[in-house]
Formats: sequence, C-alpha cells, structure tokens
Amino acid sequence: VAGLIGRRILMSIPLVLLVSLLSFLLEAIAPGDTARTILGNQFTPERYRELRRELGLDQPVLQQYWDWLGDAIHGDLGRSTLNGLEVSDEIWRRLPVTLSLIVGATVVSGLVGVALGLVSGVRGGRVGRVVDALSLVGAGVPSFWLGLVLVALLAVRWRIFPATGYAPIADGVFSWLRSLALPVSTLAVAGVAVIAKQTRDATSDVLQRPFVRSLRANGASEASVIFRHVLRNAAMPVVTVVGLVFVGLLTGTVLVESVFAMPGLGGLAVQAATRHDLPMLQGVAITFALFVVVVNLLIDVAYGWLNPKVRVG
Amino acid sequence: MSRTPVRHAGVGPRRRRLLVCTAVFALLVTACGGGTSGGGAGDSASSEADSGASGGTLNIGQLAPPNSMDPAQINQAFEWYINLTYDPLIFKAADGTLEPRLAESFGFVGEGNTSFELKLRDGVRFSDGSPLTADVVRRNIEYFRQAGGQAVPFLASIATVEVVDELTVRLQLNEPDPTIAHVFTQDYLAGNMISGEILDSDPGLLAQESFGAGPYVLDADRTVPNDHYVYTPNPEYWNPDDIRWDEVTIKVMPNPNTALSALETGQVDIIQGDFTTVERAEGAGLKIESTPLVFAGLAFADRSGELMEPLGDVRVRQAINFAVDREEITAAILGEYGIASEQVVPPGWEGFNEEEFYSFDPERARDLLDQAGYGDGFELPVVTTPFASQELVVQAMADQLDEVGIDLALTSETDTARYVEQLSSGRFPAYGIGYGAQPLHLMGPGLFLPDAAVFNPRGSSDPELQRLYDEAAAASDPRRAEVERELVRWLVENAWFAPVLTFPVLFFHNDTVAGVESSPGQPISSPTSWYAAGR
Repeated sequence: VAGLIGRRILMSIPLVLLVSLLSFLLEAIAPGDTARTILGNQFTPERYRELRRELGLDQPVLQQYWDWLGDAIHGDLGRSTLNGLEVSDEIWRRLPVTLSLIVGATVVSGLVGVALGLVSGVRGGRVGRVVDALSLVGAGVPSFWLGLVLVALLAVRWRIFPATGYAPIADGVFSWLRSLALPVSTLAVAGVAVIAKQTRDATSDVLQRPFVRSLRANGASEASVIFRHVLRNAAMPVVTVVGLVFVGLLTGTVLVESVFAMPGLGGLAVQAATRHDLPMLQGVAITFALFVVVVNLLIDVAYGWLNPKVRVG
Repeated sequence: MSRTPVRHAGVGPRRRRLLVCTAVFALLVTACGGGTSGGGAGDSASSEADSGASGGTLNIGQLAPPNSMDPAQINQAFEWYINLTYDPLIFKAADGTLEPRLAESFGFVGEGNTSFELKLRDGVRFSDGSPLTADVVRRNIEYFRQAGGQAVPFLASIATVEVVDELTVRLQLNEPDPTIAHVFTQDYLAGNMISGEILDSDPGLLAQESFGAGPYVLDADRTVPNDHYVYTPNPEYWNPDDIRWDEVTIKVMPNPNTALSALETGQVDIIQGDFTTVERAEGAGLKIESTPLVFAGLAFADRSGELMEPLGDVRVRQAINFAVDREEITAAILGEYGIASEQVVPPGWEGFNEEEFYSFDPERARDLLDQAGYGDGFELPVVTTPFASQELVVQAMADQLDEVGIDLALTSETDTARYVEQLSSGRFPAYGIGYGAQPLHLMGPGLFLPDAAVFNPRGSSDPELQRLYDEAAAASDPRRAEVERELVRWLVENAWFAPVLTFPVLFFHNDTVAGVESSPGQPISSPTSWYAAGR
C-alpha cells in the first residue's frame, strides 16, 4: 500500500502543476484585470497603467506564472491583489466550511444512495422503477433552485433550520449540524440519485451470479447473502461513483455556498474569478486539485482493500 | 465452495468500526477546524433575541464584500463598511442637508466658489487616541490623492490646502467647485478622516483595520474578511450619545434571495434589496425604503458621427428618444418601484426639469429619420452589460426601435471590467448605460464633459454645454439651480442620451430598526443614523 500511495503521489505532481498553469492562463486571457476592478469607472489611462505596473500585471503572463510558481513551491501562495489578504490564511480559514459541506454531503449521499439502491436492486419491480424515477429527478434538479426551495420551506416558513450561514462546531454541535442541514441536503440530492442508480445496477448484476445461488442453496440467511456478500461484491463500482460524487461536489459548493451565504472555498473562487484576483484564484484551484488527488488516492486504496487482486496488481 | 474468496474480500467487524470511526472523525476534524472561521448562523443571531429593541446587536446584510477597508481605496458602493468607523468632516443627513460632523462649521469664503474653509471640532480623537487637527486633514487630502482611489477626481479642483490654525483648514480651488462640501461627506469618501499617526507609520494596515474617528471600531479578531465584519463601540468617540448599538455586524450574502430569507428569518435586520425581490419583501410584511437613483438606457458615444454617421445628426438621436415607450418598459421591469425617465437626474435632484420632452411617438420618430435621410433605418452597434440589469432595458428598447427601422446590434459583456474597457475604447458608437445620480457638478467630469474617460469616450464637447457648466459652477443659489436646469435641458434637447427609466435604490428592514430613510437628497441611508425601534 505504501508503494501504491508513493506512486500515486509522484504521478499527481505533474497534474497539480498542469492545473495551476491552466488556471493561470485561463484567468490571464479572460477579459479585464485586477487594476480595472480596483479603479472601477473612475480612472484615467495613466493611473490604470501605473496600477498595472504596481501589481506586476505588465509582465509577460509566463513570467508572472513563473514568479508565482517559485513562491508557491516554497509554500508562499502570495497575497490577494485586491485586499492584501494572505492567500494561504484565507484558504485555511475557509477550508473547514467546504470540507464540512463536501464530506457531509458525500456521507449522506453514500448512505442514502446505497440504501435506496440496495432496496431497489434486491426488491426490483415497482420499487426499482420508483428508485430509477427518483434518480432521474434528483440528478436533474438544479442545486441552487433546490436550495432556495428548501430555504423557503424549512427556514422561512417553518423556521426549523437557519436560512443562511455556517456555525462552527465551537458554537455547539447542534448549531453546527443545523447550519449544515440544508446546504448538505441540497448538495447531496444529486449524489444520492447517482449512487442509488449505480448501487441498484451493481446489486442486480451480483444477484445474478452463480455464487449467490450457491450461498442460498447452502442455507445462508438472506441478510448474510445481501449484506456480507452481494453488497461487498457490488461495492467496487459504487466506490468509484462515490469518489466522482465527491469531486463533483467541489463545483456544487460554488453555487450552494452562495445560496446559503457560507464562507467556503466555492464562494472564494467566485469572488476571486469575478474580481480577477489571480493569486487567490490560483490558491483555490490548487486546493481543489489537491482534493481530487487525495480522493483518487483514497479510491485506489479502497479498491485494494475491497479486492486483493487489485492490490497484487 | 465460493465462501472463502468472498469472505476474504469482505469487511470484518473491526474494519467496519474503523470505517465508521474514520468518517465521524473526518466530520469532527473539519468541524473543529471551523472554529477559526467564525461567523455564520451561530453568532449572527441577531434578531430573535437581542437585535434592535434592546439597542444590542444590529445585523446588516450586504451583497458583496468591500474591495478594501481603506477609505482611500474602498469603492463607493461599499461605503456602509466604513460609515461605522470613519466619521466624515461633513455629514449628509437623510433629507440631503449638509450637517457639521468632524467639522464644526464649513463654507465658502467670499464669492465665486473658489475658497472653502473648514473649522474642526475641538477635542476629537481617533480610535488610536491621536487627535484630529487641521494638519491631519491636510495629510488626509494628500493621502487620498496619492492612494489613487475613487476620491481622486473629486479632489481635482483643490489647488492648495492651507493650515490656518490648529483647527482651521482653508482650501484654495483652481476652479469654481460648488460641490466641494459634498466631497467631504460620507458619500464621496475623502471626508472620512483617517488617523494622522497611522498615515505616518503604516497606512498598509488600513486595508484590514480601522483608524477612524467614527462611533465604532472594526473588531479585526472577530472579523472574517469577505464573510462578516464585526464592529464594537469606539471608546474614544467624541459623541457617545450617537453610539446606538452594542455591536454591529455586516454579513456578506451574495444572493439577493438568500439575503431576503435571512431578513425574513431574523438573521439580519436590514439589507440593500433590489427590484427582483421587492414583491417578496412586500409580501413578507417588511419595511421598504426606496428612492429612484440610477438612470438607465442608451448613451451615444459618437455624437459627431465619425463612426456611425446617423448619430451625428441630432434628429436621429431625437428620433430614438421619441421611439421608446418609457412608461411601458418601466412598468414591465420595475412595476411601481421605478420611474420613466428622459433626464440624467431623477426628480428632486438639482437640474431636474418638470416638463416632458419626448412623448412616445413612433410616427414623429419616423418623420425625423426621414428628414435626416435615414428613413430606411440603419444598424446601430451597442455594447452593454447585464450588470445591474441595464441590459434588460436596452433589450426592451431594441424591440421598440426595431419598429422604426433601427436595428440595435448588441454586444453583451458579462464582465463589467470588460464592458468598461470596451466602452472607454470608443470603438462603439453607442452603449447601454446605468449611472447613479450625483450633484450635477460632479456628474460633468464623469459623464458628459470631454474628460469623462469612460462615459464620454470620444470626447464629445460643445461650447454651450461647457458655458452652462462653468456658469453653474461659479454661481450661487438660486441662480445655480436655474443654470443647472438649463444644462440638463440642453442635454435632453440635444439628445446626448436616451434614458428610459430610473432604477430605485431599495432598503428592506424589519421593525426592530428605525431611522432608515432614503430620499432624493440622500438616497443611501447611513448605518450611523439607525437606532433600535422604540428607543
């Protein structure tokens, strides 16, 4: 396992570098720049040129990237060109919010999706069709719309959950869970749908295999057949989907954090992109890239754990 | 026979426990880490228990974070963030009258609006304990000019700053400027005095902390930049009676619907609303304050017809004004919260003319186009942006202009910086505009004089317009008011713009907050004027 992890980490280095280069270039070629954002409508061409020079924006793009990379390798992600905040401080401050959302939504998606998929796969028939239909609806509902509906009903009308904001666990576990309930539910719906569908298909497939008939013929209980054998064998594709759901949630947080006014990395990415705050945007892009690397690593480890053949290979 | 391999691949009880523990641990770790980020639902708990009525905590919702907390760098749109911490020299009250604040008295010396004197209040100290003196005011003006922010053009008319005595400053202007007092109010930033000590030692700190002489100080330890900003009373404040809250929090809520939900549920007490949510706010029984402020429509960059020959003919520009049904567009977009407009200033503002100039008359528009030789119509390239819904207005105009043969070829720039770049380049003969009203003298350099770099990109000029502007600048009331009306009339009759409607500025608040007022004299209510209802 150590070798596997080591290889994966080495392979991820060029990926992270590529992501950083691409995000830098994309932002650099996008219309507008920080200087225009700072000056607004009240500017003169002279002042604009001067500010660009002060911010280093008059340098060639690749030179700017090279300078940024040199600092980043030494752990210095720089400061926001807009407000001077340390990028690493800002990311570190917002990381818990986004992780709470993504980990929470992944756990909810995984538990509910697997449960629904399992019931559907085992029972089949009408139940299966209902799960399929719900999956379709769940995958199709826009998360920002769902978030607004949940807020309108559960926060504004019935006052069960807060409409906005993130309460750190230091304020109490109950407050923390309440503040996460609606955004996590909003984020989880699409994941539940995808995981339920995948679990259902994988379960139906495993149930057709000869070893299941053998287990039943040998007198194994139905619970043992389903939970100890079928689910275990159906887990590989489901784990893959859970990993993909986690990665997909990174983009989902961009909208959900906005709808619920949560101080996470998604909202920071939007602010940085719309205000052309290149160092901040780079910091968020790198953080998200690292998330993807870590999740893929965990999936690989999970494969090896679930199926020794993979580990040997 | 198949049991062995299946068992081997399975998850034993110990591993299951490990898996569950790992998941729980991951959640707890992330949550514990969250303790550093603060804010949010937990501690923005305003209103249910202690907001407003006790004079306890005031919670404000804002749609965007400030670009800086430095008064010399902050964008005017974010002035609430510094209103609480920086007292201005002159305060613009809710009805628009200019009141003494850090300056005990102020006014022009002699005739001609070229010498302006400020007498400072004695005994004022900044939050860092340093005193307010005439020399500090002089250094502030220098700093605002050097910082390159939005206040720079407003200070352009100041030639010299003379320290007359410890508490008296005299400004000599290089040209008449009747609005110089406005420049030192809270709205135009340069009046928000900064501690002289911090200007000398480390002005870089201004971006994150407060060093003003306002009723509150920014609690930097409890503030999470870009998310929420916490203010506590300033123990050095010169007028303790004006400290109405034990604490004020401004929470950033980028989505207007979210902000309204937070207001409805009591998480915040007041927000700046917009016309897309006003009906919902009404339905929820919230209090609504509004004043028309931002005119929107078309502006003509190429008034000499160099790029687009038809625009050089005033009859064509007038035809465009006659072809637009302002009442219909206004009702469709804004309902009862906007007003149809053909002038660059809203009713109640200096320069506004009571009479109507352009009725909706497509026939007359066609006649004018015929007379100008463009009876077959033409295509007009226009750059616009969805920002602040101005594109909505231009699209509505496009449908109506099509009826008289004018085809608007719209280029939409979603990025406002790109939009500004495009229109200031002068490549487009016309552009969609949304422009907030200001005293007319300040609107000149920003909107219609030749040096208005963004909104007059091809430098249109006219001797009569310049004469009216200069005469108004040097005149005293009531002559100035009369000349300003003439100036606006000139702009309308010469059709330099084709305004359609005026967007309102809107504030929604609950009944725990009082003192929120918006008027043509002062559309943007200052949070320092608000107090707990019933007190």
